[in-house]
Amino acid sequence: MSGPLPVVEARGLSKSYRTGFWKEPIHALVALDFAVFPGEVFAFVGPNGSGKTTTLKLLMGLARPSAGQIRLWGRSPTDVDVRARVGFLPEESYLPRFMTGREALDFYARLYRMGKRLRAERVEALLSQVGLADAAQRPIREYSKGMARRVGLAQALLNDPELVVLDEPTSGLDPLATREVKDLIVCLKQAGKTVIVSSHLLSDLESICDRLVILAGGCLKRQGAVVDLLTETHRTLLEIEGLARADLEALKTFVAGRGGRLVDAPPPRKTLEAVFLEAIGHTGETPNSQQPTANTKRQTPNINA
Amino acid sequence: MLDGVRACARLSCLEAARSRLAWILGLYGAAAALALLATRDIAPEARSAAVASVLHGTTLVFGMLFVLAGVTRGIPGDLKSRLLYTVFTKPVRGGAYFAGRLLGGWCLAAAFLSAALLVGFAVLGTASASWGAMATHRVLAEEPRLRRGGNVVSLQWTPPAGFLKEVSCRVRFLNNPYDEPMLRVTWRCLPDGPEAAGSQKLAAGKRLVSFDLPPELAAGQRSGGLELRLEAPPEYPLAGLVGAEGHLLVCTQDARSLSWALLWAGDAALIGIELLLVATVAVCLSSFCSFPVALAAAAVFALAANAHAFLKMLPAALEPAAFAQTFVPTIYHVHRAHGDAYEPGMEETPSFSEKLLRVAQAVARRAIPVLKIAIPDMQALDSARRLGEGRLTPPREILCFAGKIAPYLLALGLLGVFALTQRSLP
Repeated sequence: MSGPLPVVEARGLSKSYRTGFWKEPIHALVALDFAVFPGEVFAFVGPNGSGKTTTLKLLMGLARPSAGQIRLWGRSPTDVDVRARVGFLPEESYLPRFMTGREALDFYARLYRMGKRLRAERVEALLSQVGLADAAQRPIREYSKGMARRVGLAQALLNDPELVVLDEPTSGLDPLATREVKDLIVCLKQAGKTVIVSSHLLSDLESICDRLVILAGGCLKRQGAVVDLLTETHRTLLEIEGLARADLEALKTFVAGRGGRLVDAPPPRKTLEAVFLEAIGHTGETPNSQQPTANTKRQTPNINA
Repeated sequence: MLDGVRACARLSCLEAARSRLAWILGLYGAAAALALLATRDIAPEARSAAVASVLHGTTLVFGMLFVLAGVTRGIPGDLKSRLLYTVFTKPVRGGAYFAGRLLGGWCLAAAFLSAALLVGFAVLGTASASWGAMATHRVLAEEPRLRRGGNVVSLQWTPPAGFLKEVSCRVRFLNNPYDEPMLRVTWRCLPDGPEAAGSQKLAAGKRLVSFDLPPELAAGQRSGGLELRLEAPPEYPLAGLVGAEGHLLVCTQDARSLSWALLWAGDAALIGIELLLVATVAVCLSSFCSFPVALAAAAVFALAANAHAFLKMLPAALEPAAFAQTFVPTIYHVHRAHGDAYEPGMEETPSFSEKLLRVAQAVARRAIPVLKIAIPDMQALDSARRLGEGRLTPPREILCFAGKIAPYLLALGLLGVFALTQRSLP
C-alpha cells in the first residue's frame, strides 16, 4: 500500500484537563484518529465545546496530549523545524496590542528568522493583501475585531506555510470578508497548500473543504469526504430553468409513473450571502488586486471590506 | 535561537516604551527635580553630599519601578493575553522567548540606570565642581583607636554649626580572635551632656552604629561637641587583646531623611519584586496543580532560595540581645522627648499616647528583622550602601539585586520552559 504521506496524523488522540486536585478531569477529546493529506482542505466541525480548538492546540504543540500522539510530517508538533512550515491563526487574534499592525507583523517575521529585506517585502505584501495598508501605523488596540483578525491572518501567512491551520477564521468578520477568507482558502488549496480549518458555521465549510471530521463532546462522530457525507443517493435534485406549470404537472405524473414521488418544487431561493454580496456590489469573483511578490508564489484574495 | 531571543528582547523594549517607560521616566524626572529643590537650602559645603544621597535614593527607587514595569509584568502579561499562542507556534523555543523577554527588560533597566547615573554624576560634578566619586558621608575623624592593652579611648569632636544633623560611628575590629566581641560605644555631649546611647554588641568585622544628635547640639546651641568612647568592659577578656578603630561619619539630616525614605521605598520595591516573583512562580506551577498548592510551593521555594541567609540570621534574630537592641533606641527616643538622660533600667511613666507610640515602634522594629530574614538581601543592600567606604556604590547594589533575583529568574525560566514546551498553555 503506497500513497502520499500524511501531513498530519493523529492516533488515539486524547486530552483531559484537571480542574482541581481532587476533582475528576474533564475529557476534552477522546481517542481521536484522523489523517490530513497534502493539498487538501480538512475541516473540524462541531458545536461549541466539542473539542475543535483542543485538537488544533494539540496539533500546534500548544498542549500536550493526555494519551495518543499527533505527528506533523512524522515529527513532533513542538519541533522548531516543523513550526517553520506551519501557519496558525488562533481562535482569537492574540496579538501584541501595544504594537502597530506593521510592527506586529515585523515581530512575527523576525521569529521566522527572515532577513530585513525579505521581512519588509512580506510585511508590506501581506498588509496590502489583508487590506490594512492604510491602518498599518495604528496600534492594534485601536483596531476593530475584524481588523485584528486580518492581522492574525497575515501573521499566519508570513512564512508562506505548507500547512495553514485556521481556528474559526471567519469569527468577527463581516460577510464580505468571510467570503474572501473562503476564497483565500480556495486559493491556498489551488497553490498546493494543506489547510486545516475549524468552525461551527457549517455553511462556511461546506463549499470549500474536501474532508471533514464531525466532533461532539470530544468524540469523533463522523469522518469522511464532504461529497460522500452530503450526497443522498436515494434522492435526485433536478434544477430546471424555464419549465411551464403544465409541464411541471406532466413531470410529476411521469415521476409517479416510475415509482418516484416529487416531494417539492418551489422556485429556487438565493442565499442571504449572495443577496448581501449583490447588494454591496461585490461580484463574487475572487479578486486578485495584488501582484505576487518574489516570495509570494501564488495570488491570494484581497480580504478587504 | 538568537534571532528569537533578539526578537523577544525587542518586544520587551517596545512594550516598555509604549506602555510604562514614559510614565516612569517622567515620574523619575519629577521626583529628582523635587529632591534637588529640597536640598537647595543646605549649606554649600554639604550640598553635593546631599544631592548625591538624594539622587542615589531616587534612582534606586525608580530603577526598581522600572524593572517591575519592564520585566516582571511582561511574561505574566503574555500568559494572560495569550500572546504565546502566536509566539510559540513560530519556530521559537520556550527558552529563547524567556531569555529574550528578560534580556530586553534588563537592557532597559541597565540603560535607565546608566542614564540616571550619568545625569546624577553630571549634576553632582557641576554642583560640587568635583568630578571624583562623591561621598554620601563625610569622614571627619578616623580616631580613636582602641589599642592593644588598653580598654578605653575617646575622641572629642566639635561639629560645625548649622548643617550637621546626624553622626554615625563605624567600628572596625583589629586583630580580633573572637566571633562576637563586646564593645561599648558611647556618645556624650560635651562638656557635661548626657550619655546618648547604651552599649552595643558589635559583631566582628565592619559595623556601623548611627545616633541622632541631641536636639540642643543639632540646633547649634551647644558648642562643646561630642565625645565618642570605645570601651571594652574591664571584665571582658579581649580588652587586652583586640584593637578597634572608629570612624566618624556625618551627613545632613535633610538629605538623610529624604534619601532614607527613598531607600526604604526602594527596599519596599525589592519586597514587591520578590513577591511578584513568588507569584509568578506560583502562576507557572499552577499549570500542574491547584493555585493554593502552587502558592505554598512557591513560598517554600522562596524560603529555600533564601535558606543560606535564613539559617545565618536566625540565631541572631532569636537571641534576646537582638531584641533588646531594637528596644534600647525606642526607650531612648521616649526619654529624649522629656529631655531626660537615658540610663539602662530606668523606670518611666509614659503617657497613653507614648505607650501607643512605643508599641508601634516596637512592632515596627521587630518586624524589620523578620522582614530582613525573609528578604535577606535588604541587609546585603544596606551593607553595600552603608559600608562602601562612604561612597556611592550603585554597581554593588545592582549586583546584590541581580544576585537576589537570579535564582528566581533561573527557576522561572526552567519552569516556563518546562510548562510551555512540555505541558499545556492555559
